[in-house]
Amino acid sequence: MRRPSREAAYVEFATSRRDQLRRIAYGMCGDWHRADDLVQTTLVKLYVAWPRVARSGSEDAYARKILLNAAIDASRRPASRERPTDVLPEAAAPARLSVEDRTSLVAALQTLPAQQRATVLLRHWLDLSVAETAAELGISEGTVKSHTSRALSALRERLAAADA
Amino acid sequence: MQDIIERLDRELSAAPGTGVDIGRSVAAGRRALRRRRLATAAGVLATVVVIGGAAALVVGGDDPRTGQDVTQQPPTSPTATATTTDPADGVVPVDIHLDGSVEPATGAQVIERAQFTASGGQVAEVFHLRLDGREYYAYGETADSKVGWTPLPVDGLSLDEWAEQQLTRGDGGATGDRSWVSFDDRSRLHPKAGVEIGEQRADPGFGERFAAPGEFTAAAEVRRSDATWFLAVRQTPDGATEAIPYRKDDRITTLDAFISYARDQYATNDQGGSEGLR
Repeated sequence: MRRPSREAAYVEFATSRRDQLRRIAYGMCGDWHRADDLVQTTLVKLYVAWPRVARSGSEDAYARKILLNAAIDASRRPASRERPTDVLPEAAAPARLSVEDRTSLVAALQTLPAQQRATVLLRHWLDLSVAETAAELGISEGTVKSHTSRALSALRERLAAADA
Repeated sequence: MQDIIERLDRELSAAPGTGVDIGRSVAAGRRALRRRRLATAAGVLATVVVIGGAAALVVGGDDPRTGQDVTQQPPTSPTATATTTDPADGVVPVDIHLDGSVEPATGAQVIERAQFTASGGQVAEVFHLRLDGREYYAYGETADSKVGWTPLPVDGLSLDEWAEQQLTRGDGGATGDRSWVSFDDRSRLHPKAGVEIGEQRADPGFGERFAAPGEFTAAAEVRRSDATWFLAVRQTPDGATEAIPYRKDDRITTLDAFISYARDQYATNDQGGSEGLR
């Protein structure tokens, strides 16, 4: 296959999966602009790896894996974490979700650990099996089940509190 | 459960217009791929006749704006600049296709082709081929999307020996090999695993095209894998020891002859470059 047709295959794949990848990215980070950046990064990495990925027939899983790893890495960066300060704030800490976000499930997702977020998205939004989710996240099936269970109860609690 | 899934689906589906540009991904992907290939090709092509420091190293690739083949400027080093008169200019003996296959260039006559696994576990398709009147060793490593090639002769190396050397020396376009010897703090060479030093000479005068002033240099005759090699050795800016091996052949049989040959190879030529050993 020469370059034009190889690239055509890549472009076709990237175009057809772009929206789904954006939604996963948004579910992971809760911000459409950052989601676009994550998808762009994913697609560049996918282009470089395309020969072996396409040959193995694992394009979807590979693209999601790159995306989720990038999102999980981003959430681990110091800028995304709490920062120590010299002086404690006098005011009480704000509620975890703003008023407009209280009813948003995606916003509620952001309060979960990154791997729990990924588990919910893969298991319940993409409808992957426990085994497929475990393979994509590189964790055991037992961990997938416990992540899912904890994540769903946390989400229910938060949404119930918001609806009350 | 279902309420959560429906809610999630509703929110994720309410996506604003996308800022993801597939064309930009393709262009950035091509650049990333080209950088990888150049890192390898620059190291491999350092064996090519060297003429000018600013001469162009030609590696095929498509310009993301035009889709046409373009010429890339490689990073230059004391040993690695390329030729503008090399008839191989513009020729890429092998390429890795996006479907993962490694194929020789159109018109190439394949003399030998094999799957090769290096001692470091790298797997590549290796070729001895003839193209436009020249013979090349070439390889394509699909896992890392890397290709490399060298016009023959290559210091008397067999295709497997050459491939082992190329695949195990790492990324970054390094022209030397760090697996042979190391300097101690008095510029004395010590062998690494599997290497036996027969004779060594400190500061053999290979010149500034070989190493910056003040950096340790040496020449040595060593044995490895039942073969005798001569090494031109230098300290790199990061403090590591880098050797450029030359397999002993009928032409160069003593360390003195090798030092003399290496001095000539690293002498500055009319164009301000040098031939180098690779």
